[in-house]
Amino acid sequence: MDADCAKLNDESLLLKLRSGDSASFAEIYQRYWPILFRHAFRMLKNDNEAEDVVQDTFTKLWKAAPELPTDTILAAYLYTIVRNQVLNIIARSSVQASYRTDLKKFMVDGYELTDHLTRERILSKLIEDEIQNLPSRMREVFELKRKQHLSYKEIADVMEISELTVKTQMNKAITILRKKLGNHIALFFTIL
Amino acid sequence: MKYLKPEEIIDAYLEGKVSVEQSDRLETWYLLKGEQSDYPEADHNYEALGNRMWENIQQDISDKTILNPYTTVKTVRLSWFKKVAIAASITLVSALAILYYTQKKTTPERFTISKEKDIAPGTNSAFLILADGKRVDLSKTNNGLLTTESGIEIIKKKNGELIYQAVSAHTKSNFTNTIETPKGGQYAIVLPDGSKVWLNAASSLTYPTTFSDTERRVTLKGEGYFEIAHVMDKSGKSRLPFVVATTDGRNAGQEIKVLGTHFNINSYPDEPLVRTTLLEGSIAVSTSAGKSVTLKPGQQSAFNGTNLQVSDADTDMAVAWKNGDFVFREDLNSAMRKVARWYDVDVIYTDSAPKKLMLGGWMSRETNISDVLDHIQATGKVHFTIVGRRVIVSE
Repeated sequence: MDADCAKLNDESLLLKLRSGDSASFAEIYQRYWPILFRHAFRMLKNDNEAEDVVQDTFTKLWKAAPELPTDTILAAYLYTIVRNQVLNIIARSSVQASYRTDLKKFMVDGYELTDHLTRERILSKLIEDEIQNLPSRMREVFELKRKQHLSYKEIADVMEISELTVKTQMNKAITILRKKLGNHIALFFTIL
Repeated sequence: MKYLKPEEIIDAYLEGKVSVEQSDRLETWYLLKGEQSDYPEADHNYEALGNRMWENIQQDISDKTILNPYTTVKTVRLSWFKKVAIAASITLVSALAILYYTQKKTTPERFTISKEKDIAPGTNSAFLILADGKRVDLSKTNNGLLTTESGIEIIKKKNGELIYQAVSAHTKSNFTNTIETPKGGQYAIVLPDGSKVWLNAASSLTYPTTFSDTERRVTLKGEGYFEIAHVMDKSGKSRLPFVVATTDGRNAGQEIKVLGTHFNINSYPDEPLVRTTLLEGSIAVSTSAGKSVTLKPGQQSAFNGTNLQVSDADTDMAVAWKNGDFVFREDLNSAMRKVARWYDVDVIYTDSAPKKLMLGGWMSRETNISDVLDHIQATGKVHFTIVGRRVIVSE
């Protein structure tokens, strides 16, 4: 049962989920909720809102699963829903008013950052890095799980580009960001 | 710039109505914010948090009955018992696994229900009460022809099925038979018109051995799943209606009228509502107070004795029992009522028993009670003790 699902990679889990398998839904939840929660909490700095984001994200996943295109990358899909949920809260919540001011400014003065795919990868990295910040016991479990199932290699395979390209593109993007932002960001993207 | 307010920009972005440039900027802004943000001081109890959110997700999913994207009525004609066999052979699959999983990581020893006290699942057992009041224990009689009543043969099949078959030009009669399942029993019956009814535990169905010319009328207590055969009336021009009346502890009755269709009725007296779930066809549900609704496939009516409400149904959950499964998308008390009926046990709640524990999961009901309770117990939120045929629920 759960042990079987635990052995599956994200792709196979998603395939099972599409046919309405709730054990695979549970496994996906296990695999992703802590980093999604940490990311939402980091963005929103509010427990209730972060919880809402995670819950809605999984509810949406369940709802949308039968209709998802077969080439959906589970992680990327989840990260995008989380980001959109966070944005949605930023647009509405009184707690998040400062973000709105900041966003308004950025939309006028802001610069652009490479292409869409690269941004998607940075978002993935941003969220997956939360693994490092989990309480140690939880992290061990996660790393084991995630190392088996999702690696840069896998991302590269799925996106049909070489692992090196993934890294190069990420580095390029990061260099651009670094220049713009200077050194006040301590721990920036470190490529494994 | 078209959108001036940030909330408008976000909304437009989420609806996919912004330019590529705007969407690039918004996404970039988001990434920068993500990296700039420090994780705020917080002491989250991850285990509790993960479980709480999971429960809420389960509830969200079942409240909105959006679990149903997968609920297509299975028209694969497996025999009931084949289904049961398949269900039994499939290992327990359970969304509870998630909770179990979390728990397993932190609780080295799992509470396990002692196997010596185990209780076996229900079986194909029922009593047939003939027109003359004779009571036949179907689990003790041989397979084959049981008896003949007014030109109707009553045949017991080996797979827990009773068949009524007209053999001679039937004499009009008002012979009434009743089939009654005990707690821990289930049975299927094919009525003289070819309609098939599956009876869940602690239920009964009363019917004439020959239906009248104007309607086919039966009375249900408890829970039954019906597959009604299309039958034309004497004129050959319109269909002969099939009427299921439910009577239970409530004063108010409910009737449903159908022409040929698949549906489930749950009218147990210990359930707060009489639920009628339609899988195929169309049915009209009416109450003794004169209220009436028509259901479409995938809909469910709920009758509380006064009001009759229609909502989208969780059809998987409604007919799980017939397929040999438990599907729990409900609170603990509601799930335990199913367990009690199937394993013929009484459930006793101590003061420490959780008041509102939502469960989500499915498993075969062809296993011993310990399997089912183990899985629920593995949530870590509830503890069960089996004493004789009682299940004591505590924290």
